[in-house]
Amino acid sequence: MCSECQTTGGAAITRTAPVVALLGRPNVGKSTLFSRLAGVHRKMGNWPATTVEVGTATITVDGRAIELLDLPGTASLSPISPDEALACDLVVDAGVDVVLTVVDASNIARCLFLLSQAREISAHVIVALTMTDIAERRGIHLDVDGLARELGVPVIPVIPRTGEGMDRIRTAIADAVALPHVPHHPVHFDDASEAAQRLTWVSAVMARHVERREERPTLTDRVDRVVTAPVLGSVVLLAVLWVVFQATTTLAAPLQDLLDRLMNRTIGGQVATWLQQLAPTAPWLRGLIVDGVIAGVGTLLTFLPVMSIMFLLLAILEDSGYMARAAVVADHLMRVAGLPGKALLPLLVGFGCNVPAVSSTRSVGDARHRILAGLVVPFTACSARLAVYVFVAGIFFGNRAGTVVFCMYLVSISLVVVGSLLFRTLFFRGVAREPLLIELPPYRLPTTKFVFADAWLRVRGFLQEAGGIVVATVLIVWFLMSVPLGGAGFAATPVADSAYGAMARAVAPVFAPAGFDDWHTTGALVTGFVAKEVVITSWAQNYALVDASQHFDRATLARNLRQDLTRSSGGHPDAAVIAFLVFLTAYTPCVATVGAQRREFGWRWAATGMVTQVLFAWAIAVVVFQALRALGVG
Amino acid sequence: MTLHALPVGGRARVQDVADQPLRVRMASMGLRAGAEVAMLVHAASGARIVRVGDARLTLARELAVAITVEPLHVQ
Repeated sequence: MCSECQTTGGAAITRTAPVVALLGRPNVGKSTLFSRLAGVHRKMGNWPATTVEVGTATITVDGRAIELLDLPGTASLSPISPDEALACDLVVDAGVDVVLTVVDASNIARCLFLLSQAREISAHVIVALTMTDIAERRGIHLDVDGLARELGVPVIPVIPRTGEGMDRIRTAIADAVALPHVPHHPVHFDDASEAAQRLTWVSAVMARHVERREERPTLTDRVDRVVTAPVLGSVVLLAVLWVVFQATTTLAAPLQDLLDRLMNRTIGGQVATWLQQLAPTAPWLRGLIVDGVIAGVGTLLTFLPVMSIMFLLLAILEDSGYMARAAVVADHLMRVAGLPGKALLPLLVGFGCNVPAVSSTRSVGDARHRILAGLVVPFTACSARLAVYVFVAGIFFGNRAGTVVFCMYLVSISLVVVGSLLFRTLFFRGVAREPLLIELPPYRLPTTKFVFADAWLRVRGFLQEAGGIVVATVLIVWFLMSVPLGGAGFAATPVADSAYGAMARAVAPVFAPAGFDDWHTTGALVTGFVAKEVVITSWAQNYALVDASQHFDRATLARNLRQDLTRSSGGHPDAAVIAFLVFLTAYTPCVATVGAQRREFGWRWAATGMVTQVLFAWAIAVVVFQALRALGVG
Repeated sequence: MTLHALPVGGRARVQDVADQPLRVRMASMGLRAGAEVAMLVHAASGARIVRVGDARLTLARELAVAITVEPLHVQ
């Protein structure tokens, strides 16, 4: 086993069928080829005990079951990131029978480097040659048969988008798995002189089988001069992001309202009436089904429009090749937070909604940087928090409300920077912030099929793995609010006398040093864990101001809040409110975000992130309150 | 001169890559002594986009200044 491979925790495959692994550099069309071969059997998920995404599929070739593995893109088999280490690990150790190496004809020298390593490891290598059309356009001509003879392996030109060459690939796979399994040789590929020899070999092969005409500046060159330019590049990036946000909000908001109405009014209302007639003596059943299950599923569904649209747009940016350019422009900016340029996008997405932002950290590449980005995403002030800022600032600060809201965004940005440095110090001390060194893929028109498949895969994954947590949390909150500690019956108790009210009271003193030791407010923060937009309604509920038609009087709520916070802060309600807003910005945004983190990084990271955020949020809320009080803020 | 200083449109041969953590990585991407590079774009924050073989690489300023090149004159 190669020395760098141990970072992945010894991945292994349980072999039930011959294993064919797809190996290739990033952006060579490997995943498109995988999708084409796997069809509907394609599954994506993190490899056990790692946070690296690997595609798997069981397909039938010539009547024989074959296990397909889509390895993470890797530049070489001397890995430098966990993703590459896993690819290396699997190829060397996991009992792979056939290595299907994907070679980009327009970038052949670099792919030959990886291929030469694969040939030394595996006795059965097949080459799928992609991007032959781009190569032709660039004046690169390949002698495919000569190359196959020289390499001693089948070389098959393919166009995965159209399916051309797929039959030959399947035949080659069938031929290769019919041969006896040869265990892979353990080879070390970390020697610089060996790398130099390999490059000499590559140059010799290139000289014999690749013909090139002199090139002119391509369209890609001309576009890159604009989109990566010092000032213009940032303008283009901002414009692209504006379009993404604009499209997401204008398209998603009406759908979100529609789903909300459908679940809570139409379905919820209908079911409530129905249950009233069916079981008039059991109001708890109505509560469980309507306020618990239906409300929970409704909360989950309202995330769908924004996630689907955001993922579609991100897939377009990725597939078109623009994402890599955005990383170039953002790199310098992100360095302040110790994050790579590619992390800019998830963080900006976070200002719209944290849930798709966590999932979109996949584009960051390196697994450790990805987790780091995913852990700081919750510090970005999402649109749900904006609603709370506007409401609270309006109540407490009158015509200075705008400034306060603006300041909360500054707080959010500072939290991202400080939070990133904090998480780095706590959990990623050894991870160096590497200077930018990436390959830029050529621009191309995004393929509808890839874009939709990619977006659907992410949405489905979110529903499967985060859905349960969201619904369960809504149910738990409903249950706690229904358990009576006073004299009333189950599901008929005022909030103040429920188990939830008792819990909020128990938690409240913790926030005394932050100035908001008041159960109405801490209760709203507990509910805010479900979703931030419900904080305001929850406050109104805690003050028993909500009437049967879900309306409440804002002025009365404002009066109550001001009164209680004046008391809890010892006469500094404004300082307490600002501390509250800071806490709201920094603590866990919502259970759906935690669900997304769980899906992307596993329970351990999701829980670690959550605990760290709550402690961090409490600490800065205390600092903010004490500082403002000392400065004499009212 | 350094690769960083090569003007857009210029071609050069890499003479030396200073020893730093990403040296092996750059070599595997084709940036090593003897390689021919073409400067495509001077990008934001001093980053450089170059063509090496068939690949377009972007490298940060600190990497571009670590590479010594000899400009080539196109016939």
